[in-house]
Amino acid sequence: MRGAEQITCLFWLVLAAAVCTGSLRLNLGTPSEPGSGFLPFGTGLLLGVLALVHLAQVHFRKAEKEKPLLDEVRWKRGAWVAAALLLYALLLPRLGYLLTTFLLMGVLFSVYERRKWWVVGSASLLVIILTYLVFHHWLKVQFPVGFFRIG
Amino acid sequence: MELLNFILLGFQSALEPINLFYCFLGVLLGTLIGVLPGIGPVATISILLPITFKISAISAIIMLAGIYYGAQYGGSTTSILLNIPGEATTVITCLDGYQMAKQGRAGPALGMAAIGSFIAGTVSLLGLTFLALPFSEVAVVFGPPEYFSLMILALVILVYLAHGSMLKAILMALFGLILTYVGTDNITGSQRFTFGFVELSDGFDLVPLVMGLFGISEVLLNVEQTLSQDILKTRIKNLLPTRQDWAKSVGPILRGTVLGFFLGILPGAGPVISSFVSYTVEKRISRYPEKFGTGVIEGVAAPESANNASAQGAFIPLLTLGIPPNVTMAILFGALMIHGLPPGPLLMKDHPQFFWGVVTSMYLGNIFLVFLNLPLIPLWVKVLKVPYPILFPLIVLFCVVGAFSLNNSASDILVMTGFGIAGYLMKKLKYEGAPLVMAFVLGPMLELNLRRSLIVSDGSFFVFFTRPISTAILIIALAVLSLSFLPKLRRKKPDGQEII
Repeated sequence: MRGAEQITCLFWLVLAAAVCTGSLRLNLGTPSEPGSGFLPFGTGLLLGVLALVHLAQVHFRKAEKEKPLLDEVRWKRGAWVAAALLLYALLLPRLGYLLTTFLLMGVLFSVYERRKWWVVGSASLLVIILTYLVFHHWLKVQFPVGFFRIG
Repeated sequence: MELLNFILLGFQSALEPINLFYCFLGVLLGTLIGVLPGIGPVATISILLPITFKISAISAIIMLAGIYYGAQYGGSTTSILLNIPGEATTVITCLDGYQMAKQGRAGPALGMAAIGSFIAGTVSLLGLTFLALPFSEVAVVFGPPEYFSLMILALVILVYLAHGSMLKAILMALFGLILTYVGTDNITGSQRFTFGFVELSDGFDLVPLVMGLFGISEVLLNVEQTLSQDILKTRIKNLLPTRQDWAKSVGPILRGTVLGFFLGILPGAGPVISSFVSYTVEKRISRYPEKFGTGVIEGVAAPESANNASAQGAFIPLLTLGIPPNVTMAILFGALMIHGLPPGPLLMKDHPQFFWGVVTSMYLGNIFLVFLNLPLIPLWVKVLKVPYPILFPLIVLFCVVGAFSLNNSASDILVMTGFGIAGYLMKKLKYEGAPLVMAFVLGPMLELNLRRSLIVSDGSFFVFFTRPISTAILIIALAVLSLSFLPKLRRKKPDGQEII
């Protein structure tokens, strides 16, 4: 946990530096005529100072029994869900709503435990048909049709 | 007389069949997600927000508000029957509610939770009805310095009430502010931190951000665990409390209502804090404090009343001042903006039918909720048996469709997933999402009012201290900040739950 906290502090510091640099490139202006970068610069500066304070706190904190961030949990399931979602966002415009969502549902229904393929397939099919009817036909959401022009 | 006319106007609008339908749908969904652990009102409102673009503004807000206060009712069912709080607001109900269920008194516990919620909800609605007008009249005289100070106070209180490290809460609020800088500058029109991406020129949308932070991250955390769904094997009978139960509960319900209502108005407090405070008060003034936690009905009646009263009270600062007091209200703030109805003192003046329609719909919603909660409890118990492996893919799909339908763009799904992963890591590292979202919502107004104040005062920061209302607000903010240096006070805060 301590290592992860230190990495987080470094992230805040890098972010603060990036915001301050970006703000200087914008226009800081003057107090009577504050520019686009005025408040971002102040926020970045404060973030940097507080990140340093937090880093010092973490560094000087009494060493406790270290508990790994992802220990004793089935974090791989979460990783599957996140990866499936990222892939879904990339494939959606290319393959269209019906096909991509069918694949996504297939992955999500199988994340917890291995099920028979036809159970997963039927459940995914049922879900996409129902959601397609509700969102596309009833609520008029325009889904992408993809290369195969399905949907 | 003017108020009576407004109330009649409101009922006329709320009683239209379409609004009645959306009110019912909202409280039904609210109860449902309140019952289901793993999904709360914040996630549900964010998921459903894009869908509401297809309906009228009044129907949309009536439904979204119904989800919020409906969830306060539903959450108690899981607390009492499973010892798992359906919502953070019903954590404290577990202590005595579950013990009552174990003693075969699940019925009176569930009944008192629903009745107490109804009484508190209705009483605090009366408060909302009578206080809304004076509040908005005061707010009309607010200028940029007052608004800036008020937003600083809201952020300070939220940060102060953060359950973990205050430093981490401030870091999150600053991160939320930084996210608001992405996009076009409201005053100069120049592009900020867009890195040449056209998609970023309008900045980040609130919907994918909150869906990711609260919906997807919750799914990522929940799929790691195998959620236990062992429902207590007890027969739910005698939902109506006995005369003795009533005698014991009247005081706690009334005290919980008053406490909850005023804590609900306060920025940053909200239903979670209200439920904990009212439970603590009851325990302290009780003749048998040692029995709290062993199944006393006061331990159910007080927090359940307080969280409902607080949920209704929270609408006052949102609708009259345009300041969301908690993260759910922040999302409703976003919903109002998207529907072209900026919340604030002018909302009541410019759109009286909308304003009073939403307020009066809550009276109807409270009546619906009693009927949904008392006779339908066996149905909610059945809903609890839906396994999470089947539930979560549907939650994810709703998030995905919701994010996509916002701009018909897959990039919003990417943004949502990104914030989902960020939210997951934040929760692992004990960073709260609430300060981030509040800062994200208040950020643009905060910056606009700061810059306007500085322009009119010719660059003098003293403008915030020379105007009496602004000075008073800043003194309160400073006092709250000073309290954080009293470690004993901070340690007494309810731990382990996010303030939503």
